[in-house]
Amino acid sequence: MSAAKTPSKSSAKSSARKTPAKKAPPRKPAHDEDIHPVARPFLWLVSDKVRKGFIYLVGIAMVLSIGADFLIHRHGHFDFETTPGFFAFFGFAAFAFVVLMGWPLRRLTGRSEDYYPESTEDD
Amino acid sequence: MTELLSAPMNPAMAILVAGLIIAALPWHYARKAVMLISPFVALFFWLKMSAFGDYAPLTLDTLGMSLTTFRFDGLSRIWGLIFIIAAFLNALFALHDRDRLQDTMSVLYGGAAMAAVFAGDLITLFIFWEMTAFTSVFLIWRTGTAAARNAGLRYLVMHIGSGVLLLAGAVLLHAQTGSWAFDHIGLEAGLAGWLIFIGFGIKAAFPLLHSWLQDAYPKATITGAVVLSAFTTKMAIYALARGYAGTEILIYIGAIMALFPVFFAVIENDLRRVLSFSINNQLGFMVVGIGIGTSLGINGAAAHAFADVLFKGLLFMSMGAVLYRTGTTKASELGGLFRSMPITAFFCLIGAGSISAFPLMSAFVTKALILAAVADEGHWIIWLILVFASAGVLEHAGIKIPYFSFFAHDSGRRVKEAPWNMLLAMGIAAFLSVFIGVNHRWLYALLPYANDYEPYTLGHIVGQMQLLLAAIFAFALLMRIGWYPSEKRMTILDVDWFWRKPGKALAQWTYAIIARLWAHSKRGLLHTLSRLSSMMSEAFSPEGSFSRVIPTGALAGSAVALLTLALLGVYMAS
Amino acid sequence: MNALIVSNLTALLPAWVVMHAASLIVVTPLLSGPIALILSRGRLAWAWALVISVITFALSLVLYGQVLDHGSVVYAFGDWAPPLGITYNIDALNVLILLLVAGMGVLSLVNGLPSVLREIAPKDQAPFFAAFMLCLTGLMGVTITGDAFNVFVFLEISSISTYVLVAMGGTTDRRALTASFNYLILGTIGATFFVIGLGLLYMATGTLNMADITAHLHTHSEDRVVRAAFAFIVIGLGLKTAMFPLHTWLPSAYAYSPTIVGTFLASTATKVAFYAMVRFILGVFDPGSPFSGALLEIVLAPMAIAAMIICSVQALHQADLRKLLAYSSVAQLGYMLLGLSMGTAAGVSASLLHLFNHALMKGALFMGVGIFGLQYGIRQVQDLRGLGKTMPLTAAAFTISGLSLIGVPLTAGFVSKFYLITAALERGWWWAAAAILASSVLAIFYVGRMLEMMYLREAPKAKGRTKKAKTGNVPLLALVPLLILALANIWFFFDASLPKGLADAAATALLGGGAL
Repeated sequence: MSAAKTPSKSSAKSSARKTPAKKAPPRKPAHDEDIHPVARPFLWLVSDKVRKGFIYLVGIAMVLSIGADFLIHRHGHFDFETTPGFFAFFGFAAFAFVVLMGWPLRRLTGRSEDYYPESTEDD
Repeated sequence: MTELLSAPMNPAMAILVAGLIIAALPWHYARKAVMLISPFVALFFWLKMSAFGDYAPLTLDTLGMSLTTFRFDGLSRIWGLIFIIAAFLNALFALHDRDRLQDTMSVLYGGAAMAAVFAGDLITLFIFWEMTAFTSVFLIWRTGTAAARNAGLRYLVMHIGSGVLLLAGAVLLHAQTGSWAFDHIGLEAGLAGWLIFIGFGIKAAFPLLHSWLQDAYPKATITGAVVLSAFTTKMAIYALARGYAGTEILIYIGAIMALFPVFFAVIENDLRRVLSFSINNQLGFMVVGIGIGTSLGINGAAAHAFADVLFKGLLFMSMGAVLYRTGTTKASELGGLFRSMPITAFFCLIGAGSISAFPLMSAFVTKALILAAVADEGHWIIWLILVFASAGVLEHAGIKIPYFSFFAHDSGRRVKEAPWNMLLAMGIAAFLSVFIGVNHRWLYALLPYANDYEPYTLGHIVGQMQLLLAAIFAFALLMRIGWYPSEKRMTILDVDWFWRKPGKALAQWTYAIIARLWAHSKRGLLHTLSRLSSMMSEAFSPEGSFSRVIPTGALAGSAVALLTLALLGVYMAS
Repeated sequence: MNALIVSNLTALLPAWVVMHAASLIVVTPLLSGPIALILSRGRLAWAWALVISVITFALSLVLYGQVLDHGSVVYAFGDWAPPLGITYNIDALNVLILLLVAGMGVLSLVNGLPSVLREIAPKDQAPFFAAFMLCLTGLMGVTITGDAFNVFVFLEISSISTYVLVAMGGTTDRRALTASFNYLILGTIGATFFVIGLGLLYMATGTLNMADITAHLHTHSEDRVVRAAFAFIVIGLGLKTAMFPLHTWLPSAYAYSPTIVGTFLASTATKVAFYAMVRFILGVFDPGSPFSGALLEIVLAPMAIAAMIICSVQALHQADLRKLLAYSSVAQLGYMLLGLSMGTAAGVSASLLHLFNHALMKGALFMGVGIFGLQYGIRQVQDLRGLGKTMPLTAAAFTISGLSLIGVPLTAGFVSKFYLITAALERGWWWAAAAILASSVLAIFYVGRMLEMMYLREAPKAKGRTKKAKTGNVPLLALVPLLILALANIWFFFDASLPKGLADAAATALLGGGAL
C-alpha cells in the first residue's frame, strides 16, 4: 500500500511550526538516529526498489485474482456480478473516477484556508 | 445481597453514576480509576442479563406514564455492549489527559448514549438524547479556539433542534396512539412520524443535515474526537433501526450518504475531517440496511455499527496520537511518520484494513450482510452504489489516512511514539477488529435476529480481493502518472457554507441596506420598524406605559369593559 | 406513604379535634389574630403566628386524610343541615388548596422573620402578624366553605387584611401605599361584581348554599338572570385572580409590600381566587351549559393567552426583581386560566397541578430574592451579579426554582406544562399549545437574564461583595424553607402523586370522568 514518493525536500513550512518535530532535514533514512527502533527493520518498505516495484506487485496480484474467476464460479445475486473480473473492473473504474473527480470538485469547492474568518485563529 | 446481585441492572446507570462521581472527585488519579472501572461494572450488569424484557420501570405519576428506562432486547443488547467497550477504550485513550471537565463530560456523554439505547419509551429517549448534546459539546469547546467555539455552537443548535423535533413528534404520537412506547414508528404515523424521523436524521447526519459532523468533529479535542466518533451517530442509527426499519426512503438516503462523502474526502486535507466524512459514508451503509428492513438488513446495520465503533475509533485514535505528537493532522504537513511512530502506524493500518473490508478484518464480515440484504431485495442500482462507495472507502480511509500520515514523502518530523495508554487503547481496538473478522460467529450470535450468513465463501473472498487490489492498483497508477490530486492546504466547502456565507452575507447585506435606507429616508418601513421597537420598550420597560401606575378610573373602566364583553358573550350563547 | 403519615397524625390528635377539624381550621387562625395583637412584641407574635399556622397545616393534613378515606366530607355548623345551616365542604379540589395555603403559610413565616424584623417598625410587628393571621383565615375560609355568601365574606377578610399588609411596606418604600390603594379600589370593584352576581343568583334560586344552588340551576339554565350572575361572578373573581387585563394591581402590590407578604401572596392569594373561580364555573354552574362554554372561549382563553405572552414580555423588560417575578406570575396565571378554559377534565387537572407547582416555584423565587435583599439589599436584576459565587447555596436553590419556572425536565414545572400542552392538543387547541411554548421561550429569557447575572458576571468590587458571604450572615431560618421548596420542585417531578391525584380526582368530580 505504501508506494512512496521521493523523500525529497524538507518542507520549510513544517520547520517553522512550534511542534516537537526536529528541524534537521532528513538524512538517508537508514542512518537516522531518531528512527524508532521498531521501525528500523521495516525501512526497506520505503526503499527505491520497493517503491518502484510496488505497482507491479499489486498488478500481478490483481491479475491473479482475476484469473481465479476462471477457475471458480462466483455465485452472485445479479448476472453481471458473475462476469469474470467484474469486481476488478468496477473497483478500478470506481477508484479512478473518485480520484479524478477530485480535480473539478476542488475547483468548485476549494477555498483558501482562511476562507471563514474565524478559522484564521485556528493556528 | 444475592438478590441484589441477580436483579437486572441498567449498565448505563453504572456509567452515569460514574460520571457524577467523577464530576465531584478532585483527585486526578481517582477520577481516572473510576473512568476505567465503570465500564467493567457496566459490563458485569450486561453479562448477568439472562432474559430479554423491560426492566427498571419508573412510574412517573407526575407525567401519568410509566417509563421503561431499561429495555434489554436483541437490538439494545449489541448496542449496549459496543458502547460499554467504547467507554472503556475512550477512558484508556484519555488516561494522560488532566482535564476534569472533559473527563466528566465524556463519561456522562457515553452514559447518556447508552441510556438512550436502553430507553423503552420516547420520553426517556428524549431526555438522554438531549443529554448527549449538552455533554458532548464540551468536547468541542474545550479546544479553546474561536473556530471550535463557533462550531460547537452550530453543533449545539442542530442537536438541540433534533431533540425538540423528537419531543414534538413524541407528543403528537402520544396524542394519536395514547402510548409513549418507543417501538416501530414509521412514516405512516404522519406528521409525528416525520418530525421524529428528521430529529433522528439530524443526529444520523442525513445529507444536507450532515454538516455539523464535518464541521465540529475535526475541531474537537484530541480525546474528544475519539469519544464523539463512537456515540452520537451510532445512537441515531440504533434509533432509526428501532423506529424506522423498512422505511423505503432510507435506502435512497443511505445510498446518497455512502456516496457523496467519498468525493469530498479525496480533496480534504485535514485527516480528522477525512475521517468525519468517513463516518458519514459508513453511516450510509447502515442506513441502507435499515431501509431494507429485512432481518438480514437490520443485522447488517447492527453488525456494521459495532464494527464501525471499533475501527473508526481506532482511526480517530491514531490520528489523535499523531495530532498529540506533531500538533497537526493536515496531510500536507505530515508524511513518513512510521519512522518515529511505527506502532501507531501499524494499528492505523489495521484500522484502515478493517474499514476497507479486507478479508479477516471486521468490515468484511459486517458490510457483506448489508450488501447481501440489498441484493436479496433486488436493488441492483443501490447495490452498485454501495460497491462503488466501498472502493471510495478504500481510497480515503484505507489509503489516504495511513499513507499521507505515516508514509508518503518524509516530512522530516521525528517525534516520540504515542503514550503507552494510547497505544494500548489502539491495540485493543485493533485486536477486536481482527477478532471480529476472524470469529464472525461470535458477533453474529449477538445480532438482533438469527443469522446464518456465511461471509467466507471463496467467491466472496475472490470478489472482494479483486475490488481491493484493482483499486490499489489504480492508486499506484494514478500516483505514478501524477494524476492524483496532491494534498493542499485549503478549506473545502460544505452545505454549512449556506449559513456561514450567503446567510451571513444576507444578514450583513440586509443590515447595510437598512442602514442606507435609513440614511435616505426616515419615513419608510424601517422607520416604523424602529418606532415599533421603541414603542415596545416604551410600553414594556419599567417606566413604560404598560407598567405605569394606571389611573384607577381607567382600571375600573377596563373591568367594566371586560364585564360587558362577558355579558355579551353569555347572552349571545345559545 | 402520604396516607400513612396522615393516619398517624390523625391518631395522635384528640377525637374532637379530628371531628371538628373543618371548623377549627378557620376558627383557630381567626381567634389567634387578636391574641397576636395582645402579644405586642414582634418575636413573640411571630412565634404565636407560627404555632397557629403549624396547627392549621396539621388540620389541613387531617382533612386530607378524611378526603383520602371518604372522597368528600360535608361539615354542617351546629348540626344545622344544609341548605338552612352553613356547611363546609371538603373534597379533593379544595383540600389541595388548603394544604398549599397552610403549608406556604408555615414556610413563609419561618422564612420571613428576619425580613419582618428589619422592614416593619417594632411597634407595628404584632399588628402585622395579626393581619397576617386574618389573611390566612380569609384564604382558608374561601377555600373550605360550601356557602356562596361565606365565600364573599372570607374573600373580603383576606382582601382587607392584604391591603393592610401591603400598605405596611410603606415604611421602607412609599410606593407601597399607592400600590395598596390601587389594590383596594380594584379589589373592591371585584368584590362588588362578585356580590352583585351572588345577589342575582339568590334571586334566581332562593338559596346561598352552593350544592343547593347547583340543584336549583338545573331547572334555570335558560334564565337570563342566571347568565348575568355568571358573568358578574366570573369577572369579579377574575379581578381577584389578576386575570389579564385586570392584573395591574398585582405587580406593584407584590413588589413594594414587605418581603414576607410578597412571598406569601404570590404563592397563595391568587391561587385561592382562582380556586373560587374553578368552583363557581365548574362546580356551582353547569359546565355543560352553552353560556359557560361561550364565556370560557370568548373571554377566558383569549385573556389567558394575552397574559401568557404580554406579561412575559413585560417580565423581560423589568429591572426590579420582584416586579419581574410578579409579571411572570400573571403570565403563569394565564396558564392556569387557559387550562380551565379548555373545559375538559385533562385541562382542569393540568391547571390545578400548575397552580400547585407554581406556588412552589414562585414561593421559592420570592424567598430567594428576600434573602438576597437581606444580605446585600438587592432589589434589581443587575444587582444579582456574581451571586453564584458569593451565595452559592441560595443561588443554587434560586436556580432550581427558576428552571422549574421555565419548565425544564427534572423539575415540577415541566410536568404541569407538559400536561397543559397535552390537554390543549387533546382539545384540538394547537394554538394554545403553541402559546404555551412561546411563553416558555420568553421565560427562558427572563429567567436566563437573572441566571446570567448570577453566574456569568463578576461580582462588583465595592461593598465587600467580592468575598464569599459568611453563612452566618444568611439566617438559617430564612434559608431552610427556600431549600425545602427548591427540593420540592425536584421531588414533584418524580413523585407528584399527591397533587396529581388530588387534581385528577377534583377534575373528574367536576367534569364527570372526562378524558382521564
